[in-house]
Amino acid sequence: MKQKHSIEKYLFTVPVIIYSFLLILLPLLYVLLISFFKSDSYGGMIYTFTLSNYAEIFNITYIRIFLKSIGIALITTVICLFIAYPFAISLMSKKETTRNLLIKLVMVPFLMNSLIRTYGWIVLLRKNGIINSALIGTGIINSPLSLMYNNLGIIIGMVYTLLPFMILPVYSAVSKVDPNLVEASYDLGASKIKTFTKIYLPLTISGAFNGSLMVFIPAIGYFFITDILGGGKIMIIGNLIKNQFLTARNWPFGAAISIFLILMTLILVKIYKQLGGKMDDLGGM
Amino acid sequence: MDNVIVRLENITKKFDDKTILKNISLDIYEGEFITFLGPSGCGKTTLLRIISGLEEATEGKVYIEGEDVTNEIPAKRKVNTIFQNFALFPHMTVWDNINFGLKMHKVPEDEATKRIKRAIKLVQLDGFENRYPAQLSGGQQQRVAIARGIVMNHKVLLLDESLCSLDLKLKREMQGELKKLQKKLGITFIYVTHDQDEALTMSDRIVIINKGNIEQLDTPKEIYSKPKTAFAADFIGESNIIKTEITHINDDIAYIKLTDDVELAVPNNNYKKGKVTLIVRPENFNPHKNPVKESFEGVVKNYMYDGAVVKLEVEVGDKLIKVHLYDNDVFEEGEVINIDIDKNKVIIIGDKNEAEA
Amino acid sequence: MNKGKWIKNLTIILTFIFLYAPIIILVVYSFNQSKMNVVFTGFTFKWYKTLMHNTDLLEAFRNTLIIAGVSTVTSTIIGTISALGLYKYNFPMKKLVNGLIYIPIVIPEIVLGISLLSVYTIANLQLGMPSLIISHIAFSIPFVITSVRSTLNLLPKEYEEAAYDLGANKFNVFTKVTLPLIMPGVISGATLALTLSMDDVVISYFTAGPGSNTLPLQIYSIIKTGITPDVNALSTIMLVATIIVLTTSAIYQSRKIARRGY
Repeated sequence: MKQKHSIEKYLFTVPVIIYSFLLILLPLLYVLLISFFKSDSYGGMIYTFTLSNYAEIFNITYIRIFLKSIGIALITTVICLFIAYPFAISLMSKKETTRNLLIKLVMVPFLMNSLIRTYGWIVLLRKNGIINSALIGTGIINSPLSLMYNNLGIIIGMVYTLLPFMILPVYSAVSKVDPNLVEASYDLGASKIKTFTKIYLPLTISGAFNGSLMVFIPAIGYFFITDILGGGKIMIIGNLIKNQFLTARNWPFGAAISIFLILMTLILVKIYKQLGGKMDDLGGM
Repeated sequence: MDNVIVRLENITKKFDDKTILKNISLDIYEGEFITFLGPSGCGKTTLLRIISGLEEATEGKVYIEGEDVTNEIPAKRKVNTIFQNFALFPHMTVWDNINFGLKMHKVPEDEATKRIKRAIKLVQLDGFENRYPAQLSGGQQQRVAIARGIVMNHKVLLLDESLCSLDLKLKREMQGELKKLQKKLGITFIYVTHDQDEALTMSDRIVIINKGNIEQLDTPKEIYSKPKTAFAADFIGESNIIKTEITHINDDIAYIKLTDDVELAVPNNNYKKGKVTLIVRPENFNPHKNPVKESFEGVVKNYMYDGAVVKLEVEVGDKLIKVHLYDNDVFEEGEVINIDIDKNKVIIIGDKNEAEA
Repeated sequence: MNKGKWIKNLTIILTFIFLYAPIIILVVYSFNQSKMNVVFTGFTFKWYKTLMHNTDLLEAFRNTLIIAGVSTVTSTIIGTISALGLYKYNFPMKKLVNGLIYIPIVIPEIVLGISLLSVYTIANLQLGMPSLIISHIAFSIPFVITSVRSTLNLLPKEYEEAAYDLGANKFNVFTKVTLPLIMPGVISGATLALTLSMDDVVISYFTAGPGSNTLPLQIYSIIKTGITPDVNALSTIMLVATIIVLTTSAIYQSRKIARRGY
């Protein structure tokens, strides 16, 4: 077709160019720049080139935080997978209209403020909370269990907050598996576990990785969950960055950690794409 | 009937480095049903889109009603397209779909109402005005698409494989209806299809397109009985296409080799000695139980009953030829039969001037 | 087979108990007499009345509504335009732009938060409502773009061609054909943007300033000292409101589908 579209072309493309450069590229490049500066002891920056911020990451204190953070994120991801798969596969036994309704119901709790929901867990988990009261009341235990202000509390909070990001892509992938394949597998005498590992898993791997990505990456940064359910004693990378920017005011070091996180994210995304994942499927709710 | 309504002059279309259409010139007349026929990827749809303005020719000119519209946008061209998938706007009712073009051309409301009602009547969709496309059957959607096109009162309607998404029975029905509608409206239909049956039954003229070239432009009857190229013969109807040679010519009679042992004598039509392509329609071979004049023998290899016609595959020497039979003679597989030929109906194409039109 | 079905139902039920337990607790305790959320001592509406006088909370709520409203409208418009632009046109650095828009979706929010904070600082932008709104627009646009783009990818190009063929100009093709047809993607993108904005803690935490407390930030600041039941009351009201809006739109949507058949 005769395309004389100079004006609309600008109208439709200039905003996204400005947006992506001004609000995405520029801030990130600036963070990259800061990460090579020195910090002074008054929370300012000295504009000289240094790699010391990156070197500092390898300080044993920070390596511990990194390992802890990645450990929590990994456990969170694995638990989410262990909830999402059985849930998604169980859902497939329902009629399509029921399934659609139930998937919507998965989303409803997430319309409530995430901090309030996290607070709901405090009410459930604390020493004099509902779970402990119930267990003591029924005589199962004598003294209250420590369900929060420790790793357990953090992981419960993370799993709870991030679970829908796992359920949705996993369900969407599972629902695309041809039911005939599953039946054929049972027909040929495969066990449930075999059917899962040989049929479901290979066919839904990119959905599972999509979900894992959307759980693992935020789990590294969600400082408010460690703050609330970890009682401020436990630090993950998110808390570390937050402190460097707002409390310790060592921006260059905080920036270096951020760059480190970006690199990690990009590597994970690369793997996702190699598994056949599509970028547009990420983060869709 | 003799007024040129669409004229294409030396149309060439290139996508990147690929040439889709090569130097095509064509006159299309007022009131005719013309079909662009060819295999998929031959360029027929691109040619249609060049007429509608949805595609731009790399070279050449397009005239509609005598006006040079080569550089005009689709909206300014007095033609409308019926798309293969109908492209009915799913968020609009039948009425609003048909009204869309009229609204865009700012046709006054009372006139628009009259025209829409007439169009709806013509395609027999009375009572469906307030339905949405998704609530209609394939055939009904097709009618809406046609109504949306004809309501514009242009003298040319372009139809892109418009029947191919319908099932066979409905397709046959719609073929008849389309033809009737075209007669009734008296406008030009330019129809694109890869279906030779469709082309033969509906068209006044057929343009056979292959690899971006016009292979032949003729009436269905001419194309069927006198294909000018092996491609045309093969694409329209069934044919025996045999690469062979004329061994000698004796005044009025040319002798053409069928196999090493069998030679056919056909009326000489300015043929020359040498390599040729022999084309014989299966119904122009006549099988007999007993030898007749100038018959040759063959062995029935395959016998297929197909309702009105019996299709034989007969081995003659090293060749397997297709023979169609319309009476009730019964032949068996393995039987030796005698075949003669309708001499006046064989087609011989000299090897060098195969592309000659 | 029966046993299998029973296990499947149990799996579904347990998952839903996990998802809904904290919510139900909060809703129930918004009607609890006792201020210490432990034992249910009696039904009351008093926290809903207290809420009316909790000016800090209401102020934060108002800010959240303003930020969510402005950022959703803006990011939906820019995101839709961008999706169309990226879909239809080629321009220099398109590949780079296409890659950049995924970054806010994949990188940890905290990184986006500190990077925005950093540029606001060099740009000398006072932290407050404007910086919050810009930040929320920044992280919402990519979600709108991907949502609209997924609808666009499913849209046959013949609709637009048919409109041009019937004499529509570019403006009419856009307003009468393209836009109505991509509307489902636009709406789901806008819903996503609204939800993300209303709930955002991390990015707001870095880009808010004095006098621009949002509801999540306000709750964050009081959560450790213990939340008063009027916060539960506000959350309950918000939850009910969202459910009503979603149900009505679902009913409207299904009626429309029933009417149009698509």
